[in-house]
Amino acid sequence: MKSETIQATDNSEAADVVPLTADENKAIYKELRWQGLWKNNPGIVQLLGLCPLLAVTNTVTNALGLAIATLFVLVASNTLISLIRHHVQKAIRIPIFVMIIASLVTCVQLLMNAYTYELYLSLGIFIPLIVTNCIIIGRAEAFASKNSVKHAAYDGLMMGLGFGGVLLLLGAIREVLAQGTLLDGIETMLGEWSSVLTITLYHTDTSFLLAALPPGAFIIMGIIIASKNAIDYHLENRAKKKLVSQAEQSIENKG
Amino acid sequence: MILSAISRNGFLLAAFAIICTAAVATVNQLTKPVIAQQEQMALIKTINQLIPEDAYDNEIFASCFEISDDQLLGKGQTQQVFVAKKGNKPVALMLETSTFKGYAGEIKLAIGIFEDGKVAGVRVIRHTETPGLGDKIQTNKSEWIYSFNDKDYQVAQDARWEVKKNGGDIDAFTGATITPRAVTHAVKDALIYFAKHKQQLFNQVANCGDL
Repeated sequence: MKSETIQATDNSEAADVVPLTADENKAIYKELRWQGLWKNNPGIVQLLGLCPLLAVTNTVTNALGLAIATLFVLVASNTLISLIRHHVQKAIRIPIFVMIIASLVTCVQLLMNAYTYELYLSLGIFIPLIVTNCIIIGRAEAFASKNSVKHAAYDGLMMGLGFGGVLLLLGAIREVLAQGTLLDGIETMLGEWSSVLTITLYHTDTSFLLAALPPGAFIIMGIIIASKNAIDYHLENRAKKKLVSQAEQSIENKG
Repeated sequence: MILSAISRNGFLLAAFAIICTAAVATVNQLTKPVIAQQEQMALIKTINQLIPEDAYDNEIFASCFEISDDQLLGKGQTQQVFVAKKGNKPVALMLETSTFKGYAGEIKLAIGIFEDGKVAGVRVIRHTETPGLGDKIQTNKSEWIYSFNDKDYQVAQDARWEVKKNGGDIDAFTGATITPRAVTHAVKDALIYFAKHKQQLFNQVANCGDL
């Protein structure tokens, strides 16, 4: 693992020197997008940060709040860590990453406390817990510390969006199942005007409790992961079939 | 050679620690007044829900003082009291209380009590009861908590301060008994505390108004 890391670092430093062509650059961004949003999605593939993922997704509003906070921390930490990557000795990189991430999260926490007070109260302990979210230190160590600032920031953005997307999906499913609403309590985040955004799909006195509680979160999460795998399987099969039919056609043509 | 590497890394770590701490301290300084204002506004919002705004004319936020009572106001908890006065005559007060008899952890309540001992209103400040069941004590989930309005406590009618299941006056809500019972008992205890210490409460000198 360690030797692999060092090797990767050496490679990228070499790559920094050689200027990339526009096409290569485009390909890198495309790959980062694909990795963050789908193929290597932090929420449903890497399964990082499950604690906040499962705990705060009982409503879309909570999910959105945590998604934005995590996204901001990810982009900022990736950018900062990429900026300092040449100045930090390998031996002390982890404590420095941790300091940067912890300071960023504390700043976000203070800002949310000041400007989105009620949302801050409802997210509670999960804002400071962003520090312990493995995605952030994971991307810092695996990507930002070895790549250029632009790519690192873009990677943070895509990973953050991928994670946030899963949060929102899970939050939406759970909120609809448990309360029959969407975006309930959004005014705690965006101000009074936004209470019109709350959609009530159906009224219920005896809510579907399972969806609101942690076991429901696990079950729905499992279903989402299974669906993702099913889609991947389907796509792969289609690609294979296409390949086979192309091959058959070329054989026929030759014949 | 090794020593110089150690000292260089040490200086680097120290430099980063200083920069990071400075950044957090700056943000803290900038947000401190806003946070204090937010907390004050949230508190005033709660007070205004409990005690009608036109019923008093004093600076209610500056009238704050702290009390504690292990038996009646939550064990080991310090609670704040805000006194509403009109023309220097006491009208009502809002006191905080906690109970740990709920389903999960602390339920913190704000209770408004008129000078004559009647409940002006009860609101939940925070709780960790089960979502979908116990959270019907919140005003945005259910009207249940309004059922305390205008009730008062008399020793002779002690048994009425119970949920219906236990032969009292208070309706419990579907699916949960423990939470409403805990809240009912907490409100009752607060009213007992109020009856016992009424004179003191209305004449106490403010000591936490600089919050």
